[in-house]
Amino acid sequence: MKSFLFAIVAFVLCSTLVYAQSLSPKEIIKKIDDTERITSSKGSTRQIITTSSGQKRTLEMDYWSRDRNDKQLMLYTAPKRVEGDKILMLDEGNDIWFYTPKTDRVRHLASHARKQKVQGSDFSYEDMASGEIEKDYTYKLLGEEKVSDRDCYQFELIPTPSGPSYQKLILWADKEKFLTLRIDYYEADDILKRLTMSDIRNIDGHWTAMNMTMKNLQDGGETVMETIEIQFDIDIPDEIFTTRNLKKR
Amino acid sequence: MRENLLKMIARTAEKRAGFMLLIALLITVIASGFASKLQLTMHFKNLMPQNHPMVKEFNQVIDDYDTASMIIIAAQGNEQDLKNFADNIAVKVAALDKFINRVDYKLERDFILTHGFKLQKEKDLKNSRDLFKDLSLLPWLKHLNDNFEKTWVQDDESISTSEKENNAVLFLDGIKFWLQTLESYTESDSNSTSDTARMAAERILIGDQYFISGDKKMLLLFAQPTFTINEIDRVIEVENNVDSLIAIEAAKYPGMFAGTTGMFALSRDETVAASEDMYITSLVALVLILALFIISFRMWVAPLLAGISLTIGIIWTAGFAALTVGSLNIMTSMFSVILIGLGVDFSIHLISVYSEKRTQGNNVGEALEMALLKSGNGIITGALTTAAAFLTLMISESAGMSEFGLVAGSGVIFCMLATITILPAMLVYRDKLLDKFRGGKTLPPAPQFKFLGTVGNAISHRPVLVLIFLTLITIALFYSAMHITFDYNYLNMEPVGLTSIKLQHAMEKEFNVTPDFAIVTASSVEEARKLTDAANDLKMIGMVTSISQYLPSQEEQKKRLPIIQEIKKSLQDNNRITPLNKTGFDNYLDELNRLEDNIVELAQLAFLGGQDRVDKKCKEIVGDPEADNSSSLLSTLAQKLKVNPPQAIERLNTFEKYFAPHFRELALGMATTTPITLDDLPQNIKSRFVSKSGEKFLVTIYPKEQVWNLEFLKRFTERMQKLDPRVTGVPPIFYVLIDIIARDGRIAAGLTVAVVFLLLLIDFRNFRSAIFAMIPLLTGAIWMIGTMQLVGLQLTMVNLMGLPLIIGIGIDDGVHILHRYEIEGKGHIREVFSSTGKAVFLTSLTTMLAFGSLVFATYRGLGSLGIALFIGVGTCFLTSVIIMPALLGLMEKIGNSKK
Repeated sequence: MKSFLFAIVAFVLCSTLVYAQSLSPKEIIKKIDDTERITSSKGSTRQIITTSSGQKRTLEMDYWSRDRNDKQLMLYTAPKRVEGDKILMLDEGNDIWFYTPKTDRVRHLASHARKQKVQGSDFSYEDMASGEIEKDYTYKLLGEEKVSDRDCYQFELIPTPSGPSYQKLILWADKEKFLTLRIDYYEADDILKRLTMSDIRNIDGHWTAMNMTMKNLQDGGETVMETIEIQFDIDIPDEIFTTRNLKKR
Repeated sequence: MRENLLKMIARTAEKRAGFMLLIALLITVIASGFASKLQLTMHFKNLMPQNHPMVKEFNQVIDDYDTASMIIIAAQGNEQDLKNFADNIAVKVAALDKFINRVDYKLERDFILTHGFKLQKEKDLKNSRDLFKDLSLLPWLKHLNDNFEKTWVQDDESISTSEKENNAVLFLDGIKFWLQTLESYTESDSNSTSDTARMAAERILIGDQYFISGDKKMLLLFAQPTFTINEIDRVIEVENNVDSLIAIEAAKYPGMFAGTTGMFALSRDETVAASEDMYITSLVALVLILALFIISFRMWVAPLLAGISLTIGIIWTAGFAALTVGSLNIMTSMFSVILIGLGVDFSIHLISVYSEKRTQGNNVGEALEMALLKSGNGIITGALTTAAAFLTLMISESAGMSEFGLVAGSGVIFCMLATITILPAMLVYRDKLLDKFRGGKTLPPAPQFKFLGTVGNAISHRPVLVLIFLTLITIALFYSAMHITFDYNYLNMEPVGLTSIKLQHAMEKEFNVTPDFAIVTASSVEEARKLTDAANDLKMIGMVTSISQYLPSQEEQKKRLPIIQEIKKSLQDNNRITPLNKTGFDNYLDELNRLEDNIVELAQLAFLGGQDRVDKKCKEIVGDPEADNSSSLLSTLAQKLKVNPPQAIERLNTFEKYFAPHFRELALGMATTTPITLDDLPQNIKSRFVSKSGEKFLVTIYPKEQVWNLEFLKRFTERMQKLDPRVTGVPPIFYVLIDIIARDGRIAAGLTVAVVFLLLLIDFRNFRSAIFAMIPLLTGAIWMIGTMQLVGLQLTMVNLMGLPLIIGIGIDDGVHILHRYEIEGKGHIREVFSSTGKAVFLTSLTTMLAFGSLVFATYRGLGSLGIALFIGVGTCFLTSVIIMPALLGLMEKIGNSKK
């Protein structure tokens, strides 16, 4: 019985592999987009940043996102110093607002800030917005390579005029899960940053990297984002992504 | 031929001892003359190949720019004491005009008060222009808040780089001072002098004049010497003078800690420490070795004579070093200790046989000839092998290793020559004198070390078991050796507790920069500007200084001009000051509240963004939200104002009366519309950034964190090289040096093994004997690194050289044992190890004592080499006396079984 089951599993895996191998680059990109397309999500995360005096600082926050990360709201929950502070990002990071209960004021932080770094981290606002490869890049399948012992497709992505501001990206996506495991960001023919995904889990049918590390290879900065809890495809009302809502407790 | 030569030396020593000693004395006097000119240059830059482009560029920068070698005076204490100290010490240090050109400790105030607005970015000028529209209390504060929000809160990247963070701290510092002044006015009208209000205006406009840290606890002064860091004697003299002045001045302020730091101070400290170390460790080594000599041979005079001949050998070497390399570096500075350790071995071998023959009743001449014939061959071969191993290091790319090879290699030969010529002549004198007193009595026998023979014999009977056991130990130690780590922090090689290093660490903390900077020379102001901007954008950079700070591009100046004209017009047109009234007072309180909210928000953003210094400065103004007893300057001020509004209004108006006109006067001065050109810059600024020829421009890039972590050093160097391939400076040089030393170390170790093996082949004329001599040596080297790792030692730039050294030194044990075995023949392992084992034991012990004496060196780099070699000589001795009898025993067993 066991060997019969094994044979079935092996057959299914082999079929998937054969099927995957026969996919065209366009089909692979579509599958990656489908896997990573998150209409909405809600969760909590832990961010570890390096301060300007070289200390490590851990920040925890709850977050809500919808419209494929076009709108994001972050509510800081720890440490106590930042409890209740909120950052609202609209228009894929082009419109950023800040609220702190200490002053009970809502401040417009920046506009046209997609390229800028999210508070204290090595992620830029455009890195946080999930985007769509098919729409934001022209791509070329470079080959296959292992990343963290997983077989991956390796793609070169060149941003379209409406896409991100990088010169190019090299992306490695898991051949089986169609999930991005690593991205190298380039600027002026030089590798700028490396995003590495780890602790991959299946949450509500979505393959999810619970740990993301963005390493700035030019200045040595590093930001770690650890997902504590996450829910996908839930109904999040649009009104929570408004400046009016920021003041609500 | 060698035999005839040795016989001739013996005869000459016996017959013409006086003549020999006279010649030696003459040579020694001449060598001493040269040796006295030998300098110490302990900076690791001197270890680099001197024709390396990075070193050439570095030396060129030092020659081209006066400020490339600066004496940094650093003081820690409270703000007022620090400023008083700076005012006084600057005058005193500047008075040392034989050494010092000038002392900088304040901003270029006059220049900034003339061109200040042109030095501000267009965006910042636009944000702040309203501040000059109406200087009356309420509108001014309202505009300050508008400016604050536009510049610091509503710009997500306003504090994202070190430069921007510094600017934010400077701005907040001005606000803090202004608030404190305002508070002092509201408290009582006794403080209502115009001086404090004028100062508040200046602090808002141009910031603190002193080079003082954000928390006002550390202050820096920069003294420019009349010479460069390459003149080490003058460096020591000026550093000592400046330190004396600092000590006297700092003593006037209780709790103040002050001293000099930077490359100048460190060079002095390194040189002084190394110079003292050289004498102290040499003396300790000599005393310990002579004590051992006296105990093991039960003689008094002979060891002293050995010490004299050794000292003469070292003087000859120092003279030779002065003629060839001119100065000693970190590596060559320990040549004397190494020669004491190695050179005394020759005397041990010679005196050992000589005293043996004398106790057997031979006369002086006979004993001397026999001693030279029996031990002379071994001494010469041993010296040549070790010298050849050292001289092999001369092929090294790094000046440090190459010079060490020359000095140590020639030194071994000089010590050998002194031993086989001067020592016999002195022994003749001694014995002739003793014979008169003793009346022909035989000498007491020297102690024997028979246990070595017993152990060697026991091992030779169980060779397979011993060899299996040794293989297992070697595998374990090899595994351990593979895990040894490298300490890249050159500060860990410096003496402990140096004021210069303590202050350097404090500077890193307080100013977010380290004095270990990278330097780039630009060929135009425009290029300097591009490099400065590119470097300022990097997160790893703490600060960038260049001419572009004081000389914006024509295009930038053009863009700024209309805004400056607008500011100027506002200041000229609106010179009426409206005093505050009751309604205005309430609004004023609201604006103070708004300012507090702005600063609180900036603090929150700085905390989330990790900009600690901005957060800290904000907390000084609005209080620490995480501390119970922390209060806000703004809340306190508002509360005080509310107690008696009419009185508060009156006092605020008094403040305005002094503040506003001075603010207007300063701002008008800063609103000069004529463009700044290179010629307009004050000489002080030009000499800092423009080369003496006026054709090159210096850009200095300070890393944010200590570079002495390989990962950061690599990243910093590579990033700087990408910025400009001509980059130089201490960190890039050190990074390249690590690479060169590691490569040199590998090549030198490999070549030394090859040369030693070749010499062994020539000496033994037998491949098997050469291999037998090599096995304990290579095993000893593995044991050395493995043991170092086990006892928690790390490899350093200095002790890395221990590996090729130990190959040159450690080979002697095996050579002597094998030579003796060849003489004694099969079946005499016990005799070989009883007799030669004693000499090998003693020579190893003396060498270990010599190297061990380096532990007393305050310069920790030398200590690290001393410990490594101490372990290495010990492990080579152990492997020689354990492996060799096992191999010889095995060979005999195989031979017997074949028969």
